[in-house]
Parts: sequence; C-alpha cells; structure tokens
Amino acid sequence: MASTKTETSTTWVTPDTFVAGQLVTAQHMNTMRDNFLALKTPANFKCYIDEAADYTTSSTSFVDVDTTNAELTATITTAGGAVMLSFSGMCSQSNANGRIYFDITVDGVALAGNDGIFGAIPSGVNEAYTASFTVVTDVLAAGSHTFVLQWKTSAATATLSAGAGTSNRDTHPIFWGKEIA
Amino acid sequence: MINIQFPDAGTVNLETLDEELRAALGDVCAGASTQNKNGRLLLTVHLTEDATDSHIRKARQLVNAHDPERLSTAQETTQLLLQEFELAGKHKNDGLAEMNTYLKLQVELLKRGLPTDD
Repeated sequence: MASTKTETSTTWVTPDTFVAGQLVTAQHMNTMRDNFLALKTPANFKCYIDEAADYTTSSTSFVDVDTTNAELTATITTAGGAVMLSFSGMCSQSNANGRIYFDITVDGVALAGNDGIFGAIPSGVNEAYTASFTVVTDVLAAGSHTFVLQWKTSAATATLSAGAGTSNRDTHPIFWGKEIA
Repeated sequence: MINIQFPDAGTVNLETLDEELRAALGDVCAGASTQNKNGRLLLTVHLTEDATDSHIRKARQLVNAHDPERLSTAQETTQLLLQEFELAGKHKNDGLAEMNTYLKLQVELLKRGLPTDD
C-alpha cells in the first residue's frame, strides 16, 4: 500500500529562424527532434493515492489535503504553456448541510480563492459521493511550477477516501496535470 | 497557516476536537485534519498566522487532553434525536399525538440527512 507520483518535465528550445542558403546542421535538426519529443510528451504529473488512512478535515480555511507526505503536491518544469489540472475522489461529510470545497495552488497562489474551484454537496450524513473537476491555468512562464491540492469544509468533518480499505469506499483519488499549449 | 502536527495521534473525534479548539482559541483556529503518516494517524491543527505562542501551547494542551469518546454538541444532539425517534417509532400507532411526535422527529432527521428507518 503506497501512493505513487510521476512527474515529467520538458524543455522547449525556441527554434532558429532560417534564412535562404543557411546550412542546416545536426544541431538544428536535433533541436527540432527534441521539440517534437517535448510536444509528444508535454510536462505532466499524476498523483495516485493509496494510504493507510482516509484524509479528514474540519478546517474552514483552505489547507493542503496532504499536509505532511506531499502526496498531492507535484512539481514539474513546463515549457511556457497553460496546464490542465484534474482531480477525482470519493468524499463524505458528517453534516448533511455541510460542503466540501477544493482549490489548487500554483506556486503558492490559489487558482480560484474564496470558496475555491469546486464545491461538493453531500446527499446525506456520511453518504459517499464523487468530487471531480478539471480546470486550466493561465499560461505559465516556462520553468518549474508546483501544484498543490487544497480543501476546506463549511462545517463538521469532511472525509476524502484514500484507498485505506474502508468498506465500499476503498477508492483511490487521482490528481493529475498536463501542459496543454 | 500555521500547522501543528501530532504524529501517532491514535483515535481522534475530529468534530469534538474542532469544537474544543474553536471554543478555546476562537478565530485563530481554522480547524484540524488527519491523514496517514507511515502507517499511523497524523493529526494537524491549523492556526492562522495571528496565532501566538500562547495559542500554540493551548492547542497542544487540548490535543493532549482530547477524549475521542466525548461527543461534540452536534453529535450529542444527533444521538438524542435518533434515540427519541426510535422510542417514538414504538408508540406511533398509539394515537394521533404519538404519530404527530413521530412524524415531527422524522422530518427533523430528514432535514439533517439522517436515516429514518425505525
């Protein structure tokens, strides 16, 4: 039982502008090859959660879902494009009128703020339901960027199943991102 | 956010602990979280940046004194409602007043998203 995380970075090299009669060298062609490879496999990450205990919180301010293992934190080097981010997981709430909110920080700055990107509404006390959303960042400068999944609750206790063997809730949240342009 | 971590926290009643922390620390307390850490339960208390050393000491005291068996106010209310509903279910056919009591409790439970099978 262990969470896994893959983080793949890419480097984009601005191609030369060729002029008539210019000699094309192996270096030019290899730069183009590397750029094709970067386009084929853009910077990406995937966090797959498999923990010995589910995540819970009573925090009414956004906090990292994983405060210590950083299993839901990823750092990749992007080539100057926007990044598509997505999260899916099974949640529950100990208060039927409570809400669970999710946000993502990019380099320490919340993508949405206020009540976040996504608010999940329970159908009953401790009833399991799906929290899932996809969002695209603004264009990010080429370089290293860190993405962190955060959450908060409006009241009582929010739970995110984490593959911990809980009966009928042994599901594995996945948080992923991929540079798209 | 200031995160105070308690490794190997054992059993935690997060609702009760949250209630205790907020009662003692007020708005300085944002709540608490639990998660796995090397196969053990890690408890994190979240305090705002305004928290003083005194707040942090108080939070540590409350966590150390935490009794997971103690119910929060909301949990006690829920437990009481469920007990009353169970009793009302046994007497719902005794008369109109008893049925009225039963239905009122059922509505209250439904509003809270609680099970109403008696």
